[in-house]
Formats: sequence, C-alpha cells, structure tokens
Amino acid sequence: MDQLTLKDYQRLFSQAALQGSQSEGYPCLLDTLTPGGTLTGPDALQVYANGVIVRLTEALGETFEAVWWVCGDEDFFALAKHFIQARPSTTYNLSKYGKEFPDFLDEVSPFPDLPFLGDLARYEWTFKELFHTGQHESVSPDHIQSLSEDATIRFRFGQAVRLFSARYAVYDLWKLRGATHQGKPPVEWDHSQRLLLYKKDRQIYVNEMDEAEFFVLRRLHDGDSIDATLQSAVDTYPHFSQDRISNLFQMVFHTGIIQHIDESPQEPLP
Amino acid sequence: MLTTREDENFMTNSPIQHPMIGVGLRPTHYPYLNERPKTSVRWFEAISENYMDSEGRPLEMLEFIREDYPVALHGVSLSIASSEGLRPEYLQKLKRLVDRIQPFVVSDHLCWTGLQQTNLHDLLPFPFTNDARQTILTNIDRVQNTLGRQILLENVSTYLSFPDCPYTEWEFLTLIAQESGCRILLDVNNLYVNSQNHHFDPLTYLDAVPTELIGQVHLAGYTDMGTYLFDTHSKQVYPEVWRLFSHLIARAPEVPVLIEWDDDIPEFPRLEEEVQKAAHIWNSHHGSADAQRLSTAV
Repeated sequence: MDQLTLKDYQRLFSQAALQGSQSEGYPCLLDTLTPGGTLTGPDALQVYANGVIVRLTEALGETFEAVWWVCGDEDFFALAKHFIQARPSTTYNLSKYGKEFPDFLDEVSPFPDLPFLGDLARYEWTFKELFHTGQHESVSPDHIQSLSEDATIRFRFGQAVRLFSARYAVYDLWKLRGATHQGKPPVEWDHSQRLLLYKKDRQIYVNEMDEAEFFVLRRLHDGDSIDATLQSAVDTYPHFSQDRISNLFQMVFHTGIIQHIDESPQEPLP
Repeated sequence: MLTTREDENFMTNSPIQHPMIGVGLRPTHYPYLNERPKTSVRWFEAISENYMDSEGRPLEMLEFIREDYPVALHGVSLSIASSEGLRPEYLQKLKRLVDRIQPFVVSDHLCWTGLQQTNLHDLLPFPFTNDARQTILTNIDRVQNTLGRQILLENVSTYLSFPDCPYTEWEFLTLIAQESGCRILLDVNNLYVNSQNHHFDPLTYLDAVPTELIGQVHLAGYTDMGTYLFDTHSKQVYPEVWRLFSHLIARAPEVPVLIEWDDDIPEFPRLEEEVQKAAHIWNSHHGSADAQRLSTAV
C-alpha cells in the first residue's frame, strides 16, 4: 500500500464506515484493499459500516430501554441511526455513548405525540450514571443527634444521589417499560415530576417528591444552609407546614443521602 | 496482591484434570455465579472497559469473582494500531483497574478501533506495513511502561486485507511480539476465520508463530454468512477450530485457554461443556500428570 499512510487510511476508513460510498476518498480506499471471502470491495466495507451502526444502536438500546419501548423497534432503530451519523462516538467506552441523545431527541422532536422522549432519555441516562456510581458512606445517626441547634448547618450529599426533575412523568413511563402496549403508553404522563434517586446498601431507590420538598433538597444539595433553605422554602411555599418539613428531614436521614454535615457558627439569615 | 481461594481448591472440583481453561465473565451469568457454585472453570476473563468506568455492581461482581478465581483483563478499546496514539485517560483508568484487580494477564487486540473524534468501536484491520509496525511498537511501549507490565495482543478476524504488504499476518504478529516484548493472545477461531476469508492454510499460520510467544489462547464460534465467515462469538467452537487447537496445544501445554461466547450466551453449564471439550483435548496430549504439575506452577 504505497499510496496511503496508516494515518490517511484510518481517516478514509472512518469516514467510509459512517458515510458509505459518499465519503471522501472512497474509491481510493477501495483500491487499497482486497475483500475477504467472496465479498466485493463495497460489501467488505459495508460489513464494518453495519457493525458500527449495530454496536452503537445496541449501546443506545441498553441505556435508553424505555425510549426504545415507547418508540418500538422500527422507529427506535431509525432514530438511533440518525443520531449515530449526526453525533459519532468520541468515547472509548461503548456504554458511555449517548450522553447527548436526550438533547438530540428534544432537538429533532421526532414524534409530536411523544413530547416526553427527551425527558425520558434524560432520566435513563441519570439512572445509568447512578448505577455505575459507588455507594457512599452516610453520616451516622449519632452524629445527627449531636448537632448543635445554634450552628449553621450544611449538608454534603453523597455521590450516589441524584435530584431529577422533568416536564413529564417519565418515572411512571419508565416503570412500565417492557409491558405490552399499542399506541400511546398506558399512563398519565402529561404532568411534571420531581425525583430523588439514591443508592442505599448498593440498591437504587427512587422517591417521588412534591415541588416544595424538591425545592428544599435542591437548595440543600447546592450547599445552602438549613436555616436559609427553610426560610426560603416557607417564603416560596406558604403552605409548607412544620409537619411536612419534619417528615422531609426524617426521610433525608432515613435514606442515607447525606455523607457529611458541616457545622459552623450561626450566621445571620439573608 | 489479592489472595484467592482458588489457591486452596485449584484442581479439586473438576472430574477432568487440566491446567488453565477459563471462560469470559459476562453479566448474564452474574446471578448464577453469585451463588458461588462449584465450576470446572479455572479462571475468568473480564472485559476491561466494563469495569474501568464503574464503581457500581459490575465492579463489585468482578471483585467478588476475583476472591475465588484468577482473572485476566481483556480490553477492546486500546486501539494499539491507532495513528493518533493512545488516550491518556484510557491508560490511566486501565492502570487503576489493573492495580485493583491484579489480573494474571492484561490483553487487548492487534487492531485499531476508530479515531478519537469518530470511534467506531470495532476491531478494525490495517495494512501490515512498516508504517503500522512503527506506530504499534511506539504505542505498545507506552502501554507497557504505563502499566509496568507486559501485555498480550490478540489477532483479530478481518473481512478485508491489503495486497502487496511486506508482511503476512503471522509474520507481522510475531515481529511485533519479538520487537516490543509483548506476547500473543492467539485466537484460534480468528485464525481460522481469516484463513477462510483470505485463502491461506491455517496450519501455515499456526506453525509460524513461536509457541514461546503465545501467552494465552482464545476459542470461540463463528457464523458462516455465505460469502464470508463472521466472528460472532455466538456459537459453540467448531470442529475445524478444535482440530487447530489440538495441533497447537500439543506443543504449548502451559498456555491458558479461554472459551469465549458473547452473543446468544447460553447457561453457564453449557459453557462448561466447552471447557470440558478443551480439557479432553488437552488431556489427550498431556494427561493428568502434566496437569497436576502445571496447576501448581500457575
């Protein structure tokens, strides 16, 4: 192969694998190779081109199982092929391919009657990330009991915790994945949903939260103190009662989502 | 170094004596293996990338298996023949995994897998030229220096080749191993697939590779697509591959052997039947006395 360096060959081959016979240098590439078996040159290249689509589609299907379920095989495979050609993989790890798939679904909006696909895909990516995250050590109940009432307290959430909100009820959709259905999925999905996803004892749990609860967890997660967070929550949600606040904090400690508690001298509220 | 219970019960569970025949560790079999059944498998090979980016269940399972068995780490994304060089992040993550798992073998494929902006996630062919040879030697040097250990590289199945190259596949494979200090993971199925696709005698290939360079053997099944043989790892090992394996193992008794089955994966006991077939062939050449000697040497 005098006419192509390894670098040039690899560039032309990569383009041919994704773009086929329309790619730059395709005839030149064909001239450099001998097809295997009784294949023709284009057929031999197509074996590899098909392999790329199949492997990346499998990877997307594994991560976005519920999107696949909602779309059905034919539409999901077409969407996947479109995405693969528009956003080639740059990751070395096949299972990490597809991070941009949720945004892609929002952008192309392939099915007007399924506006939740982007949110659903975003939920599945979040779930997958959590699956591969190690279990954190939770703060001990003894430490919680010993907290000073006069201190400014901030929580540091564990690494295996995710707060997720969506315009549509994608968790309800996700729970149904795999079930037989025809036409639209058999669940009321046209309302927003807020979720706490976390690992405890290496198992993944999902808690649905109302708007005020999620507001509090989000602020605490972002590093605001308890006092400032609660003040802000009561201002924003006047009906957020002491009982609900108490129940929320019981849940926070019961789930083990807090990895560390920072105590510092009390500071004036903003 | 992780200690393993395999040191205590090595060679005691199986009715057939053999040195080192293993299978690929696949998620399908996690629930079965989680019960710690007695198996006739001597070691497991794990796909490196499945564990490099996970601190979750997959890594927990690998460490669980590692408590009882030797483990080899086998990569699919090193891209040792890449003209762009290797990804530093990949090498660092692989090193962390190697340090954590302490595998007895670290391997990948003699191929490239795409470019950094268009990773094709396939084991891709390249011409056996001096250009490729220099690229690969530079890349192997970097990997072995980063990991601080020798690696093995596997011959891959291909569906096209390049005329007028200065080297045949077996000459190139041997040369790379000799010049880099790496060893060869000889996939007998891939060798057979290529012999049919590219019209050469598989025994010529097999006999040309010095056995002292072979650090591991893979066995798997292919699919006949009518116009070519396709390396699918979705079938049992075929008789023609068993015959080549027998020819090889007769002069390479100490080489660890792996049964690969990656698609349409059967129940674990079915995989063990393939292990038993390999063991029978091994025993037909070397017998149980050799097995006992080798088991203590591994």
